[in-house]
Amino acid sequence: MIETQKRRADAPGLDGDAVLEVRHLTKRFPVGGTFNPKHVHALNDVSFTIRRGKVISLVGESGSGKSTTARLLARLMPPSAGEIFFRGKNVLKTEPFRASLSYRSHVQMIFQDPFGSLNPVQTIGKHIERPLLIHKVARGRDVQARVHQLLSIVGLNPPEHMATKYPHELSGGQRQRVAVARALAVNPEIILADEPISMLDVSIRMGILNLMENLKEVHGIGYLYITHDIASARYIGDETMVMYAGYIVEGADSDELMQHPAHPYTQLLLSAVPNPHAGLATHAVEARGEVPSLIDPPPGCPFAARCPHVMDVCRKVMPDPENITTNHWVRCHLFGPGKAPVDQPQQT
Amino acid sequence: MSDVPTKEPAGNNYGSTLLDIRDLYVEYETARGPVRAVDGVSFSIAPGEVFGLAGESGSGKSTIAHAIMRLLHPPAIITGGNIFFNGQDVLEMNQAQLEAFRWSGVSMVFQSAMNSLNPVMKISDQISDVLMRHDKKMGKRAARERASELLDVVGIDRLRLDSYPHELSGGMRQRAVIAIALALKPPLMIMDEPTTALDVVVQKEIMQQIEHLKDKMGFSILFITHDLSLMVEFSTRIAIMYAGEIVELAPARMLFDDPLHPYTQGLMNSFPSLTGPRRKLTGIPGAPPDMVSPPSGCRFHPRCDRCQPMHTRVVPQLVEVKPEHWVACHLYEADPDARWRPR
Repeated sequence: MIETQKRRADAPGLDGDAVLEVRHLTKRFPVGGTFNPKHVHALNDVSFTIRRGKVISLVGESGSGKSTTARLLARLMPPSAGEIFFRGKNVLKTEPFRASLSYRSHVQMIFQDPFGSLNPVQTIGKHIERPLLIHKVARGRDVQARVHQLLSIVGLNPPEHMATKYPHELSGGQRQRVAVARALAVNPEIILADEPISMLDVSIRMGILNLMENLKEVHGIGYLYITHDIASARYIGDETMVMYAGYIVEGADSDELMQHPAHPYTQLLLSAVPNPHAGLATHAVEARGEVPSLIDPPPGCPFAARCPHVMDVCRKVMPDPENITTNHWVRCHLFGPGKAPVDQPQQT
Repeated sequence: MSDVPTKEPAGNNYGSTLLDIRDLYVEYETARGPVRAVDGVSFSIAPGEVFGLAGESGSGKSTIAHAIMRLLHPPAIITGGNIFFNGQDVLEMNQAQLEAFRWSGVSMVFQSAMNSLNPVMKISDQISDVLMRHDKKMGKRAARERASELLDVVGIDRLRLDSYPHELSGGMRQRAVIAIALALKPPLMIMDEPTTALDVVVQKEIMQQIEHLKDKMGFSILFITHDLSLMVEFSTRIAIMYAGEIVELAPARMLFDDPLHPYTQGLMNSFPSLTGPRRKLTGIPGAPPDMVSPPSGCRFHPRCDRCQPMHTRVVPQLVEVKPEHWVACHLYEADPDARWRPR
């Protein structure tokens, strides 16, 4: 307990609303054989806090470690290092091998693929009944009533009719609503949403995001919203964090991040988003090249090889997070002591 | 312009026409009955133009692309219409003509382009294959030389010539596929969701490269995607498809600044913006229709908030309500100024 207390004290930003906190989370996957052991550095030193009734967006390219973060938080696999605090309790210490039933009910997950995450031979009603029974949220006659209530909360009406349908009878958007209802069944405090709209048709995406937003306001649920679409990250996220090659390189209030991106990678990402208000050629992409290999990478900042502002120190040390304004931090040597901020790109 | 038949917005105002699709119908035979995936679609593409075809999954846009290449196989059947390429009807071509037409007339970059390379062939061999197949006189050495030129053109290092696809990143594989599509300098390239599987930074690089190549080599592009922002940035004209029909067709800027069809307006209201005030976006209620039994009248009517009783019975025609701006919506039939704009 003393250990936990001490860690809590040096954990930044701890307050009453903090529900789930991760500190220095790291994940390595072993690859290669016995004689040539190597490691994929999937996640490095990741720290953030998910608060009650807040959405924190995590943006990054494929392979940057976004889904690994969600899977570690859902405790589908153990981290290589770091801590996860749920309401101040170091859950990796208190329940080291398997997440407790209570943790699993407090932290729920929605997956990307609404076609793969539902069982094709079970009715929608059964999908939602199951968590209710396992977590003993309801029993007897209450189960049916609760199932119908959950279905109407997520906008699947009439619920009596929808509960008898099978997944193949529903559209992608409706299936994703079932996934939300299933997560909601156990009264979670946190929902980890891993690319929940990227496989849906454009016209129904906003419906799912608005549903999530509504649940946030009504039930005070906190979200980790994982996406590769930075515009939707801003749309729903109170805060946005940018991930690159296993590191979270920048985090800020969403508007602040979009208006004053500090990390060169964030600037690159923002300049690459299609913008119909301008032509293709108006703002040139400064950096070229591709994401480096994550197998036993060299020391230093992973963006160094592509960075237009690279310095010697970048290839040697990965900088620590540096606050640049309130609620805006960045991991970049340009913002270390005595360094002036780089030019901001023109915002339209 | 007024004498152009209502179902054929063929006038592209660019003088000449490279590809002209007239009243195309494609049906799929399914266990539940025939599905009309493409229902009387007409449009034309001028030389050097980038024509965007946008719509949700199942709207028929990829089926059109495959029909142009004559790649449709049963259960898909072209049941009506014409596809003229440089005045010649693609649907009438025999096997020998088709072989000459494919790749040297029109080439295609597929949706899953990253996986459309042969995993056990070197990149150089895959490019040479296309070159030697179409030019029987071309030798191995010459084909290899041309292959390395093509890699230069799309921005891949020549040293990668002898790489296998798995040794390349997703972006490089996509560039290699574009190199193959460019190999015979076709006047028209069909790009079906060319960058959907790629990250935005790579997407931007590749789209800039394509734009650059297009300006240099002067080919036309039929650009298919569901990403309207990218399409508006990249296209000259855009056609919006819904349930097998073109519901709106206009120059890209006009469509973006002043969308007329309620469906297009809904799509525009489905993309959050990076800048400006955060506002609530509603998307479009409901889901795309089941194509086995599509809604009567205007197919969008079950999802439309301006639907009137007549709209559920009568099919609207695609008409030119302002110069170059075509829309298939009853709201504009009586009064072309019946424009309703979302806030």
